[in-house]
Amino acid sequence: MARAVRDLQAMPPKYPAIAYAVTVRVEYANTPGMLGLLATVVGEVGGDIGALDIVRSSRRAMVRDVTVSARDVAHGQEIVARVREIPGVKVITVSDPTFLRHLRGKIEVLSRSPMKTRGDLLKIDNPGAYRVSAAIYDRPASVWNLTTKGNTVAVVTDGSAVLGLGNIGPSAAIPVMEGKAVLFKELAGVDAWPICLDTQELGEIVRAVKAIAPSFGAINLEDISAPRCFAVEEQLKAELSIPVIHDDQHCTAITVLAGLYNALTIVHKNLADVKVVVCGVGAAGAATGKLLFAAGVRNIIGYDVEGVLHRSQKHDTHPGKKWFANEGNPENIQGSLLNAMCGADVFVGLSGPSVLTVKHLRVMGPDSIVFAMANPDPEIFPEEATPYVRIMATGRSDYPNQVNNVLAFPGIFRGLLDARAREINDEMKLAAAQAIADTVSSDELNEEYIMPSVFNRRVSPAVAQAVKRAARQTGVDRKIGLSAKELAATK
Amino acid sequence: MAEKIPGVAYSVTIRAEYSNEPGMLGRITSAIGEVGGDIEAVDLVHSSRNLMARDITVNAMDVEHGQRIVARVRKVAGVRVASVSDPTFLLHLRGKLEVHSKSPLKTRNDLSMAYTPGVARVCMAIYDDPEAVWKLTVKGNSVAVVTDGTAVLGLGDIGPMAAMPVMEGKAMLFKELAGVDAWPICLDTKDPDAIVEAVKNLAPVFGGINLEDISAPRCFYIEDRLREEIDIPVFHDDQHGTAVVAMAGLYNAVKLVNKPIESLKAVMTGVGAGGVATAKMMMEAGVTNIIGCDRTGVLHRDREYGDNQGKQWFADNTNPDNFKGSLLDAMSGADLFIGLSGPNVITVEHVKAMNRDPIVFAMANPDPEILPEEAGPHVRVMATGRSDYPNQINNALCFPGFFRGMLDVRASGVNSEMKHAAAKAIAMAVPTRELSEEYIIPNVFDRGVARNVAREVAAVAQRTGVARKGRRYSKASTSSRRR
Repeated sequence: MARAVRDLQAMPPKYPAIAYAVTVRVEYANTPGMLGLLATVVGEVGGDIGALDIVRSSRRAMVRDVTVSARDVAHGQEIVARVREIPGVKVITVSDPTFLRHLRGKIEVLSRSPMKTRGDLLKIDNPGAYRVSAAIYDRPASVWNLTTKGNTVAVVTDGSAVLGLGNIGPSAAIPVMEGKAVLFKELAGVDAWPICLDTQELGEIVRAVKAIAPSFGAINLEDISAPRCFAVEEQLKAELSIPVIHDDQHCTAITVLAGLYNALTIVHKNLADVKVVVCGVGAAGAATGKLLFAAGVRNIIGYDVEGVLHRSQKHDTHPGKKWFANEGNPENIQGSLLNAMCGADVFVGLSGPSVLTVKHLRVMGPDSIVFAMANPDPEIFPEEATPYVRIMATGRSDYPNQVNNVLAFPGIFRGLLDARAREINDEMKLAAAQAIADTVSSDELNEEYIMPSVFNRRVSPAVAQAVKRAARQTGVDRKIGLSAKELAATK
Repeated sequence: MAEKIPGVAYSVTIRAEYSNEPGMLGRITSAIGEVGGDIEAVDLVHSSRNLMARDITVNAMDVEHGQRIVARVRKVAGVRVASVSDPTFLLHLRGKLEVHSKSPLKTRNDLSMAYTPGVARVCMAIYDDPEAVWKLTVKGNSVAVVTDGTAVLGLGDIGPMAAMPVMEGKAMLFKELAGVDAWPICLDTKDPDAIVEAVKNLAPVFGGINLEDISAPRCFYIEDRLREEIDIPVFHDDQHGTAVVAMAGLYNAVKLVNKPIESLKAVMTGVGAGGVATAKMMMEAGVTNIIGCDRTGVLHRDREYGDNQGKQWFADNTNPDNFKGSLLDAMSGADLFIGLSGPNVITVEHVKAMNRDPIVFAMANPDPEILPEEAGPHVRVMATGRSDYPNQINNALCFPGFFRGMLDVRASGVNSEMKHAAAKAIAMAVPTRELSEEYIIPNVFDRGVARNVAREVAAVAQRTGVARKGRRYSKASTSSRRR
């Protein structure tokens, strides 16, 4: 297995965060001033105290769990080391709230109805379940009504491109896939199960997903590296009659488009007139370019480390680059990012940290829009960029306008399942983007609020509704009525 | 699949509307009784001075009987049947399982620990120490219930989608009886090699694989190959679950008849996956004289069996005297009959030919090889696969606890010692003082059974070296990557 591409230590967030918190159990003499001393020391090293829970208290001694947010792992260790040095304070244990939350996994399987009596058993097992099985055998469409298929998504990965960690393999990818399953359930009521494949061979991935498809209503591909992800998705779409979406590509694209819809409203520009530079033409960049094109943007320029993508190049092995070279860049611009940025209205960054400088921003057109979504460090930090741009968005939660897939995937899959959709098409993606954008009302819309919050509970139902409607309009939904038996059961 | 006794699995709920006057409900219930319906519940839906509406749930013997009951109620003067529904289908609507988040996700802090950026640290902890996957993910508590839908009990080859309700039911039992998170995986392929490849590739997220309702002889090949190629236990329930529970019953039955297990003469019908596994277990427990029979008679070494691996296995490994003859010939002097075949395979005549204190396990489902009503007068101990007779041999007594035990010690495989330990634990769940001809097998809802089975399986796994927990393995040997 290839080494992970990036060391976690190399990407600290700028502020103390709960994701790097430590819980320190301390014991000290129960005298006035001790807690104050402790808090002061933690503050001195930049730790952010979140909770101070009493574990035990007596006349003489006090035991507390002190949870401190840190900037990174090393910072957390530094905080603990300093606390150990306080005279009269004894550190009993140190624990990690993030790891505690992951112990034994984050998801579980529950029965939707009780299984307490023999009557229950006879209905769910032999012979009850067998009658239901026979009913599905007689009318295969009933599988959508009578089993979990109709509400279930497989979150499939091979662990080859996990977050910013690279090729860490299927087992190490499980926590991310479980996290997605949690979000699916919490935000859209979808039952998702992680499928982490012990192969990175294209044919085997396709065969495995095809094989498991009967039990699922849709497939969410996740964290599969480019360019294999294109072929996996393409082959599965051709062979399965349930929707297959590579989240890293399409949900990113949909969320970017949602932000762009709102940003353009603020600056009074039309999609058809703007010049967009997409920096980073991997899986997400290519899908974003294509979706913006489908939405009506005509001037899209792709850029990667080798320069602007143009028609004089051959990119047959990389479908993303090929698309930008042939379908984008109408003026056939060549050369540096600076060339591409001249007069651009929108910059979409899906690349790496510090790719962009103030120099690039200065040559953009008036009322420029910058989406710097590299994670965790954006192409340019908002502090630097703000004086030169009208609207700025990043992938981070600690700046305004977070472009986060979580806004898209739960509602999209909810809509797909509700429509019993066979596939997802551009119309459905555009509808989803518009629905996300519309969650920010016109009187709320401003430069610092073009994206709804991840915790805005209106987003996912609105997206689901829009996707379902578009599925019906484009004829990719399944109209599966209840059979007489199922209908009777609902009365 | 007719049942003789009205059962809840074939119940109907009839919404009856009638004028609110004395005697009406009595007329309805009498009518239902006339046609043999068993009233389970009478719920009031709506009541006014003139009109009464009730939901009457009636257990029926089968689907057709349910329809007859409804037709009879329709004929009661003054009664209008507003609707008829089916409680079994109601329970299955939209599926029986859901995936649940174990802790709430309400704030940004929750998100940053359960998902990005906090989750990245957990991923890297597993990357650095692959063994940590058991502790930090759902793997340590989850089982894949895998089928290709080729041999679903009583229905045959109905395909993966139609098999879903059965696998979901199994997952419910896993959770309810042993706290195991099981997820149905119904495969859209019947090619044994493709099944092996798919399951192998699915393995990282599961701590065990429960193969289910896969037809013989493919099931043997699939299980053998998977056991070689993946480092989590693979257990074909139709083989081993059946064998373990039958063995548990046998341990208790021989106590009652006071015969040493080594001395038994056993006759078996149904020599498929479950039959072979049961015979193997019995032989390991000391039974030497087992005779397998098919429709044409005793399986012996001078017959040809084509590619039927089950029959060939019986011919090669059982019947030490190479006895030849009919099933009736074989039954003469037998102490034990085990049926995993089909309805009405044996008659009173067969049972009468047996030795004194005969033991009969007639496990064909839903209709046994001989009904207890018929066999009863002539046998000492009788067990079936059905819940409406005493001594139900039900796999649900085994698989939840068996997998619980394996997960608890992070077992890398299954061995026969573990199976025997499970059988003994199930047998022991019936206290010696309560042991009787009608109580050799514990109740499926006896929560102690799964707990005891889990404890015994875990202990034996540790003793026989297939437990991972408690010992530090090198990274190479615990990596789930293919070697």
